[in-house]
Amino acid sequence: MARVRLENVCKSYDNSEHMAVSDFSLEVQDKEFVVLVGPSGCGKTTTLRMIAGLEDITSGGLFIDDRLVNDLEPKDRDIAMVFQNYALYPHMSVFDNMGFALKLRKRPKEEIAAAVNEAARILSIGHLLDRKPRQLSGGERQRVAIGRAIVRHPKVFLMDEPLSNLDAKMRTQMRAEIIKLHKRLNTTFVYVTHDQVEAMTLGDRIVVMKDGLIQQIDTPQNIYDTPANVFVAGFIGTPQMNLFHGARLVLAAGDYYVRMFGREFLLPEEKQQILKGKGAAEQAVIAGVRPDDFELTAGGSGITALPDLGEVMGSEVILHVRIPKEGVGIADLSEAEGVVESDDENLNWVGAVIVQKGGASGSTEAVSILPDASKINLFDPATQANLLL
Amino acid sequence: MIITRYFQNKVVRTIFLIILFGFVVCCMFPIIWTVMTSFKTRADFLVYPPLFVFQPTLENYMEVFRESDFVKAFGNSIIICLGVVGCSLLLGVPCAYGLSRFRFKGKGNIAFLILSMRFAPAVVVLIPMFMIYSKLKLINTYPGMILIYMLVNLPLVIWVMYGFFKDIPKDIEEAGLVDGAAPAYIFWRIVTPLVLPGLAATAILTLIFTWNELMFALMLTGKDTQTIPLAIYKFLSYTEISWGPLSASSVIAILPVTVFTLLCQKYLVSGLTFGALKE
Repeated sequence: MARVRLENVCKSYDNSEHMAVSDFSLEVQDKEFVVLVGPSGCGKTTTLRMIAGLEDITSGGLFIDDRLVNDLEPKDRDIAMVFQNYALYPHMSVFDNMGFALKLRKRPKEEIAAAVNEAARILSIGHLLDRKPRQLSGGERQRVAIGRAIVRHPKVFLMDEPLSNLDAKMRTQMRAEIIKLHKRLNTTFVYVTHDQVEAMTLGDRIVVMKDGLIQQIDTPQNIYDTPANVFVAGFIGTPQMNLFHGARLVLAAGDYYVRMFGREFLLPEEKQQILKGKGAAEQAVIAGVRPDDFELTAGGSGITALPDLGEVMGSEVILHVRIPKEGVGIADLSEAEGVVESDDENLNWVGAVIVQKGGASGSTEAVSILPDASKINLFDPATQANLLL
Repeated sequence: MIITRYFQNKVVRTIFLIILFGFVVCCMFPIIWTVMTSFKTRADFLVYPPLFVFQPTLENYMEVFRESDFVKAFGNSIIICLGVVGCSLLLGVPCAYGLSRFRFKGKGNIAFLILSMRFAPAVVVLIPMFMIYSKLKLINTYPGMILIYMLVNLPLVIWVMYGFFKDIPKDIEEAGLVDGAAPAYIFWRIVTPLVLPGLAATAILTLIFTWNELMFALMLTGKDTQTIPLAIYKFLSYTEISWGPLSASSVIAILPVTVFTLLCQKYLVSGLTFGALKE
């Protein structure tokens, strides 16, 4: 059980100007499950490796339980790490792999056997203890790698994309097991992934990173509902949040509206208060609406959109739609005119809409849709930051 | 799929087997010929056309063993080879590990310099080495012979082992660090067992080169340290070639290397690292 604190941690390789991680500050509470997520090269694994002691910290401080550990060897930090590629010792049996750390600490054989057997029982790998890693399947190897970490009862668990090499089914299964394991062990977890679904389902809090910089630290729900900037909005959520680059924030009779597709949407009271508090002026904005925050409207009262295709997902349908620019009829909408992201409000807009099955089929008949105004996010086109935070 | 079917075709299979068999026969013929000659009497091996069925005799072997120089040379070769293989691995393996794992200034130059020692033919260094050895009084000494063969073999050991170490994923060593192992412990207990096939291969290559080497032995050994190839060479004299003892001594010379290779064979099986990582 431990708290991990990173204070203005920076990392650059070979004294280059480029920072792999810049000014990273985070406090992981005792027993908390924090997930670092971001695209490849964002610095999440480097950060984890710095916590593990496998990378030097260029500047800043790393504290485990208020003790500065910057210069401490990995073995003295009381951490355990699960590697992306499992990193099992190929010449040792599963039992020896799991008991290796305790053996190095010169624990009695009985204690090692008891600890390994207990971990094997938790992970249901008791029958594999005599085998070598090469005789195991991917899922089994992953369990052994986790088992090797838990036998020591470390203060902090570090996991570096441990599920990325598993197939989809096994990944879902192991994800659930990791959640259970966290509850059972009641220990601090720091988990790295590029998969936002893993981040959303596993983390108590998520740290979204890009280019070595923290973009947002918050709970999964808050990050989903109010992403800090356009990058987070696009990165978290599948399909990604729809961004309307040609939208405008309008102030009329003391109330804020968002104008897009030739319509004005009144923002809810809570968002009105935030914008008033900031004294926001009328301005061009990027409006963000999640695909599941649209609803189909009857009788053509909404915005007319033309589905290019419909992905039937079982309980719901993802419609990939195009909405014509103002003054263009739906019948005149040609595919060539579609653009995904553009600041030009005169171009057609392409996005995704999730509707419940039954509301629409996979057909490409024009539909009438309306965004839920209470769920709209507004981003500053210049800074890309969320105006509602 | 197509390739599998292609090789399952009986005609194709047979053609490939014939080619393979022909190749093996070509490789083995001189050895079989030598072995046969070593068991023939003087009368038998002078017969033309050559006899393939004959009354075998151990007379040639007896003659070789009666030659005290040969027995002594055999012992010398074993001492020098063990010294060369042991010292080359002891020095070359950590060197290769360092080259494969650590980043330091001039690493590329050092690696190239090591390799460049193999660029020049050995004969180029023969005269300078002879002069140096004369000054240092290393001629006709075991340390002198071990040193000269190490000089030739170290680049090979380092480069072959460098390749093997590079193939060991760094994650495994880092897992060891996190588990609490010291770097030296990781090197000996985690990494070295994983490069056993490489160790076996380099040991065999070093042994074969040292065991068979004639040129340095001719120049730098004396009566006390002469090696097997020299002892065999002595059966070729100005007056006659003693085919029988020459063949018998050659067969005896082949045996230790063959035994050593067979002993190392089980370590040569590759794929030991399979299962450590997700490929």
